[in-house]
Amino acid sequence: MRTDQAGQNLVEQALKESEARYKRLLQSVNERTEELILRNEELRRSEERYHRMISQVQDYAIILLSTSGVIENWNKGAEKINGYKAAEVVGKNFRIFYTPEDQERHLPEQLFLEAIHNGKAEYEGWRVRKDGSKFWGNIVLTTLHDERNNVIGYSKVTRDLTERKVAQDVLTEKNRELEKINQELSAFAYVSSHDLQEPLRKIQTFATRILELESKFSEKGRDYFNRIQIAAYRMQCLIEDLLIYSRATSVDRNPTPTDVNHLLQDVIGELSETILEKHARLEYSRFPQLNVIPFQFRQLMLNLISNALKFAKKELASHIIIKADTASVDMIQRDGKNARKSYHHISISDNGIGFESTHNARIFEIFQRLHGKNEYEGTGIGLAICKKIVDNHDGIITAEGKVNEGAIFHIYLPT
Amino acid sequence: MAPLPPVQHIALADDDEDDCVLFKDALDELLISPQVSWAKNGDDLMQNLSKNNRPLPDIIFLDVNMPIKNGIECLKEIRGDERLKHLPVIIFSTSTQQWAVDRTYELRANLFIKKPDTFQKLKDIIQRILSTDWRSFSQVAKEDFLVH
Repeated sequence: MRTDQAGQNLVEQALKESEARYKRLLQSVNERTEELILRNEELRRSEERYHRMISQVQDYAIILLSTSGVIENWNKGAEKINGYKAAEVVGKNFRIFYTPEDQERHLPEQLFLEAIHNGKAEYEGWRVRKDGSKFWGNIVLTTLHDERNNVIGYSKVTRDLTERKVAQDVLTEKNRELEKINQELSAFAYVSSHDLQEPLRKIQTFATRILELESKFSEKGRDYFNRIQIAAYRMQCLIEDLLIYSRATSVDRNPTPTDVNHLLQDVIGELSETILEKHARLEYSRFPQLNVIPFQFRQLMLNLISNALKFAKKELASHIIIKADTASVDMIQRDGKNARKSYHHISISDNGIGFESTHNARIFEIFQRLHGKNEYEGTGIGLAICKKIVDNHDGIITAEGKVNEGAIFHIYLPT
Repeated sequence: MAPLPPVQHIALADDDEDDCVLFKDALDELLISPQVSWAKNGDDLMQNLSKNNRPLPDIIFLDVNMPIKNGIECLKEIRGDERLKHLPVIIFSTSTQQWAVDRTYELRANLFIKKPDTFQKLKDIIQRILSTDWRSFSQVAKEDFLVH
């Protein structure tokens, strides 16, 4: 019995242990199950959240396509942008969103090929809604792969950019119109100033003829005739300057590397009479090679040097200094997309009558004059031509004046 | 070569009557009185030149902008015509637009004159042209072609 007792004890012991193990196992299984249920729930929620997120997105049509292009799901955005309800399109081929022309040229298939090749394809174009109306869609087609890198489908994200596209089109159209108007305007300025020369020439010639042929003029009559001729001469200057201005407006040539030294010599030669007359002293150094439109650069120098000569002081011999060096972009405080790193800097300074520094910017506006016609002749176009020319070279022109001390003009041209 | 015979016959093609009056006045003041056949457009000029019974002018003054047939078309026809191609042709125009200068140089006009803005200059240029012996003419260099 003792043995039996002992055996029984052993069995009981084993049973107990087994039971405990079982309990522990059960507990562990329960725990694990609970955990799994929890995890599953989380996963389900996460998936649902994710699904909801996709399905509730309104601004983007996000759809899933099978490898053959069949629509597998549909979100709010897709409904809003394309106009179909999920039930109407799931199971159909995504080609239906394309215009007949795009379908005909196999655009959907091309996008698929591109997506397979590059991982994704992007495209912008007109797309068709359910009601047949069109919208401007921006589309990104992305290839989806499984773990083994097999293509399992595509995601297609579409944005409706119709508003932007329409605004852009309007802008482009407006720009084109503006360009056309500008062209017409400069053609008009050119033609009108050109054609005005002819009657003016007649007035000048016939006035001269009368003065030459008719001797019996009263003092007054002769004076009036002289005034006619002076006015006609002023008009001639205006027309010529307007012609130069309109020619400077329509540039069809690009700046090319040019040795400008001979252009400068040329200009000084042209002005030699005035230089002598004004006892002017010109100081200038050798210019580096510059990127310019030669005939325009010549005009620029001509206008600025003759300006310096014109506004010389009556009692003081004119001294004009022309210098060329370089300047960096921060020196001229220019920013924006047109800014370059370094610039050629040309300065033309004089010791003439100068001008109020408050006019530094205004003097470049067309028809701006700071003096009466009888004090200093001029059309008010010369510096506007300079500005135009420098603009054509993507450069900057500035002026600093000091009353009774002189003026300095700075030109900055991209190197 | 024989001495330059005086110019006896000028053809002037210009639709601008004022300019024609000035042209004739200038000739009068220069005390030369050649015959001037005035054509009021290019078509007129070519008609005049094509008449076989009419003597050809010694020199042609040709405006560029004219109605019906412009100066450039006339010049082209003149230079393409065996009977006419040796005639000196002086372009006489208010406009000195580059394309017109280029085209007339190409078509072998003798000179391109910008119509002067004073009567004195007009006389000077007419005198200069009429005293030039165009018979020995070979076209001037491009930079000397346009006379302001």
